Amino acid sequence: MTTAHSNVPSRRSSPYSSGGLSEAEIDQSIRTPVLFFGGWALFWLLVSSFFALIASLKLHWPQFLDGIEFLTYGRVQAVASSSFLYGWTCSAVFAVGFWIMSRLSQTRLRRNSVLYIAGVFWNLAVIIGLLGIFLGHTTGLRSLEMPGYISPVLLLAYAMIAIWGVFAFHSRQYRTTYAAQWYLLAAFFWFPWIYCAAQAMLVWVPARGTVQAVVNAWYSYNFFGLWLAPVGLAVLYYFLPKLLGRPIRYYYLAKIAFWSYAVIAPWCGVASLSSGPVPAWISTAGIVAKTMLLVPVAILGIHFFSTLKGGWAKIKTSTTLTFATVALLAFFCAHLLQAITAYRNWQEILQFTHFRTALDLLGTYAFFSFAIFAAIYFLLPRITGRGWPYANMMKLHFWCAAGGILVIVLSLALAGWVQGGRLNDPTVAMTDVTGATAPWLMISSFGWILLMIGHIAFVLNVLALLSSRSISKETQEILLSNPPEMKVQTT
Amino acid sequence: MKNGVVLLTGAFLSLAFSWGVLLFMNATHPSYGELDPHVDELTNAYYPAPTIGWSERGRDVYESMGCVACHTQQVRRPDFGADSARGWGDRQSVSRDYIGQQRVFLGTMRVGPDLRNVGDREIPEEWSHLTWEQFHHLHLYDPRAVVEDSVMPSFAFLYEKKEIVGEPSPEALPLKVEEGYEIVPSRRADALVYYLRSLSLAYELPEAIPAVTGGEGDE
Repeated sequence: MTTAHSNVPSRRSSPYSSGGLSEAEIDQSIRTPVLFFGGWALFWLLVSSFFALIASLKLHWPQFLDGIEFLTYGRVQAVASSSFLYGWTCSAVFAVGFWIMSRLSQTRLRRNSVLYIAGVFWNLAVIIGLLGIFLGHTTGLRSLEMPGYISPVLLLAYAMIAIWGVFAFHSRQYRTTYAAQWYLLAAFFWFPWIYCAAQAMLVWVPARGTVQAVVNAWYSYNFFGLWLAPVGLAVLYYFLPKLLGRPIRYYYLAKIAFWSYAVIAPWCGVASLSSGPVPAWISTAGIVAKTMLLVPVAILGIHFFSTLKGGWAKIKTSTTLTFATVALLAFFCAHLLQAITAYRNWQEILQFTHFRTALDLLGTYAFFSFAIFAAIYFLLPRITGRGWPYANMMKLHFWCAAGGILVIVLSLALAGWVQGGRLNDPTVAMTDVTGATAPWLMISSFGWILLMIGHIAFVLNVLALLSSRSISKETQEILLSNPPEMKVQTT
Repeated sequence: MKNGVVLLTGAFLSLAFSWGVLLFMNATHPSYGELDPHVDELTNAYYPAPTIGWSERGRDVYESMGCVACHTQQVRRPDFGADSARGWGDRQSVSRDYIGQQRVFLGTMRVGPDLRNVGDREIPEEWSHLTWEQFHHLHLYDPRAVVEDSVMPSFAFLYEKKEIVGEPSPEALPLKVEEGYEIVPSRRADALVYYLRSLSLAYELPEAIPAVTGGEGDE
């Protein structure tokens, strides 16, 4: 039970030899919290993709549900964005982040009702926040659309949830830590800070004038850069070596990557303020940061791609690896495009267009959400002791999600290009600008329908898994144990 | 990395660096975050003029409808994009223009036109028989009645259909409805249009004089 279930393939990439607790015991202890937060996450995934589809339709079909106050475009769009960010991504971080943290720290999550109470409060706050948007209490701030009155509840609930992740790290069995843990711990710490800073300077005691725009741009990027991206990276760090059965190559560079990411990433958000009514050095700093961020991104690329090298054939055999590979590719595309288009000659065209939405989705969906899907496909059978009932549903989910997001990102990027080019030509009337983007926006709506189908297939598969009978201990051993090459070679 | 304290301290310092410089320093900077209105020496008038209660109420409506999802409120400099050429403003908007606003809606998306200077913009010629306010009420009530292919949502729910009692209301929209009725703006619609009217760059600041040619300042 001990060596066969060790954590990570070799001592090079992971400091753990297995002792103390087995993976099965850890999975048992964290089973209910993961199911609890995972359940909320899936609920919000469906909700957010539903409203995102409505918002997308409204962009090119203004008569659709027109003239209804609570369904006006601005509100639906805010609901779609908030339910995605604070519903889906946050609950997903709690579920997957805790699981990875517990496994790497080799600790049990002690039974605690505080976690569930806090979780219920978090999600109630999100529900009230979304109702608030429908009723018109939105703040109109990017990524912070939910009304200010729920933020104290969110913060308090967050503190009571995240503290367990910190406890897990603190009570780890081995002093040495693995890269995935650094990113997780830092993310747990960064999120409340950026959230507090943004709430304080935008809602509680608003800063004067366009300083608000600086704060908002800073927060909006950091929500991805310091909260979602680190968790996505932790997933990649954990699963790639585990499933490929080989250590992370050039692991000694991991520290440089982590620290340079930590120092540079918080500066990136303000790049989007090019030529706005803010001091010019601010966006210059952002552009420099986005370019410099390519250094840690390149190191991470060397890590992951050279680990994958020679293992491409394995990708097809594991759903987790397939999703993780897409996430990896999206991570690079997103950062590369972010860096290139941050420059002012690109911003002149793309600054206020759908292109920006496309880039955001590349990061928050194609990278982060795919990493979460990858993790869920791996962890759910292990914590429940049940197998995925429908292989076809997994395929359907993958192809709909991958195809859908590809269609959305490409069509929105093209829409943005068309829109930006025409906006800069004063002879083109505004209606001709929107008219020219309409076909592309229509295609993006098809993309959202695909995503919706994928999400429904995913949720149905999860529900079927939960209601199926658990498989026998012997089959579990065979199906869920690590392949032979992943067992620790004791030297 | 063995020490959690080192990790957390490092994570703290890295974010503190960016927070301190980008947010704290800017928010407390005398010529940015604590910028004061410009006082005209001859007239003793303040620019930008302080906002008035009714336009604040309209700003709330603008905020609650999520207008910022499709409209920016920033005029970029003349050699950067076509903001001025589109007639969105004669001069670039600068940070001082926003100091009176409780919440700043710079925006990140232009599905519709920029609105920073909408209060100072002429309405289209074919509607010149309407006042500025009437035109914008009509446009909010039914965008496609004014601009054929507009994708803007209708805000008809901000208007009331009323029976005409005595004289027709001077505020009634120039629309044909059933005999004896008229469409009048609610208080929210009135406030919203009042707010839009208040969005104007029609004053000069020492740092933002209307540009004659493009290309002043390279940033």
